Amino acid sequence: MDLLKEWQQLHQEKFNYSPIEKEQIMKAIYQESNSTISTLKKRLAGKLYWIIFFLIAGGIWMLFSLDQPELLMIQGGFMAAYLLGLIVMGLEYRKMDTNLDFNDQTLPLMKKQDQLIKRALNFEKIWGMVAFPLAILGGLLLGHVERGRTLADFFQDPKSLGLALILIIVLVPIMYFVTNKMNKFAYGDLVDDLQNNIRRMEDLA
Amino acid sequence: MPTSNENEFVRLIQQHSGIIYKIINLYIDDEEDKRDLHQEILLQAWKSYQRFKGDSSFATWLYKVSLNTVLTFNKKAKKHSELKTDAPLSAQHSTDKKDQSELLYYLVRQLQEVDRMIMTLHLEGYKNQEIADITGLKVNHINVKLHRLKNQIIEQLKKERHGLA
Repeated sequence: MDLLKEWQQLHQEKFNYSPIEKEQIMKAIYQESNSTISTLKKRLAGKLYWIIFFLIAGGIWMLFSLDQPELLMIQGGFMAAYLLGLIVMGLEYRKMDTNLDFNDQTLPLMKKQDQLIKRALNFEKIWGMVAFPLAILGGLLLGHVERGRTLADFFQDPKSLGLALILIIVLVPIMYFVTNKMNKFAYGDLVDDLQNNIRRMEDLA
Repeated sequence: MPTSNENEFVRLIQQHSGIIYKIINLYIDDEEDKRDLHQEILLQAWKSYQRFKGDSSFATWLYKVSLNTVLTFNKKAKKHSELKTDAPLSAQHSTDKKDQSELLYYLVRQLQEVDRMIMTLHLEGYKNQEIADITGLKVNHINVKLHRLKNQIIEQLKKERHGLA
């Protein structure tokens, strides 16, 4: 049985497509990529814009709080944390898809893609684990100071500290769980397929 | 106004359009995914074309880019709507040569993604060394794998056809 001959015959019957229109090719090469890494990069860009927005908004707020040293101190702390986040994320953003080259052989390309996806998703998780507790604590501190109390009051008040601790202990795992679920929904099948294909190719080797 | 590089790329893609359609149809069922993947292959091919040095033929290179794109593409239609891999009824109940060759197509589509890639490249007439260059696998492993895959497909074809006779 000559499979090649049968495939050739099939080729003439089934794969006899008309050429792609020039306009369609030109449109496609100037569009934004739908690739997974490009999508993850866009998500990261969205976070960067939010950080820039918070930095600008925080800077303006600081200008109006110059006569309140305690408030200024909290704001300054947050601005420094967000600035650090902006630098770290900015570096990650710049690195993101320069590693992928579709001229590469399939196995190394799939491995790189798998690593990049995992890295980006882990990065999001770590960022959430740091930013979310800070945001909870910051929100409580700001509310405290806005009500005319001092920072020292907050840290000496077991009730306020307990509330902060409970909120962090309860909300951070929930947020971690939700992020994981959402990422699993969005990328779980792709990561599973990639790992399965990589494993199968490595088993061959 | 397209540049001369763009014109050359368009000409080559138009000449080899069948490769892109073939890979998409072998791997994807969902129409929306097909449209997205078609555009993504053209885009990745254009981006990669800047680094294409002509070490292989354009067709071989386009196979590699298309397979790389399809295997790293995040499909919108998830696993619950995997490829419809049942053999076509027309092929199961027909002795027509055209319907019979359809069986081969459906058997190839039933293969696991990596096996499908190796088998498709083989059926397209690529030598085992070329398949190894495209995939990053070793040539002796391709030999063994192809031997098994071909036997498996021939057995299935015989079974289907014998059942029909």
